Amino acid sequence: MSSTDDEDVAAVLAGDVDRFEQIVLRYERPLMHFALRFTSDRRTAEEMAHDALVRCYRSLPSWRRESAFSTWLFSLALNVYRSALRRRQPEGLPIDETVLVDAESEERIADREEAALVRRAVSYLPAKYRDALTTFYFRDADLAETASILGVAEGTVKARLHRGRKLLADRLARFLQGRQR
Amino acid sequence: MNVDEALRVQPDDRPSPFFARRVLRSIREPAPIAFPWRRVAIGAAACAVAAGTVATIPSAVDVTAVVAFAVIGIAAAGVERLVHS
Repeated sequence: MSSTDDEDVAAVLAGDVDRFEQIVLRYERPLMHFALRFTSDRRTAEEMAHDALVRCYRSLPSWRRESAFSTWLFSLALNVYRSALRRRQPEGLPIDETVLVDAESEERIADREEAALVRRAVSYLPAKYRDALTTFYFRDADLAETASILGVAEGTVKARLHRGRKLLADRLARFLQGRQR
Repeated sequence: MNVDEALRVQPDDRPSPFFARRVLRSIREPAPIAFPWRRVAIGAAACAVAAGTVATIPSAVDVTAVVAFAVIGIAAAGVERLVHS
């Protein structure tokens, strides 16, 4: 029988450190997928997810159960990922510069490549729009949970999503125009 | 290009096979001790105030400086206690 987050956290806090493995197994993939929305490098994403889980373990006593464990965990992971991104420059070239490289090597963008391109464009948005778009789509467009994870009001999330989408559309349009030339 | 759809696509990467084991090993290691910036800042502030006192009223150094150091030391300890509580 599988345990719940609450049961696992309670067991860990009571001294059963091994029970943290249940939390790791439950969240390792979602945390890695979340990290992959901030970086395209798989190894970096895995390192970020690792750091988020270690921070989670060390911060467990401070979880006040005001929100779901997963909301708290992704909020904490977002902070870890932001710090990791501040420490390292975004990898590769900004989207405007990739035009020249990609236009020479690729004629058609397949669906997966298109998604990767959009995610990459998102990663170059100002942090508040990047975080809003990334979290919103990662959490199945749940506005309330996105607001909880970001620690801002729902109205603020809506405004950031609106502005972020506009910025993103402008940049992608410029990129696509560049490809057609 | 449908941006909405592209943003909903979930990558299918998995962490490496020993990921969970590595996390569990990391959590058993002692947490790194953070550099005590707060203590350093409080100490530096106390030194600055003491140096200012000595520079402003050098004639009172023999008595005032000793008292100032004692008061500042107690105040700094109190502030740190408040910050950590």
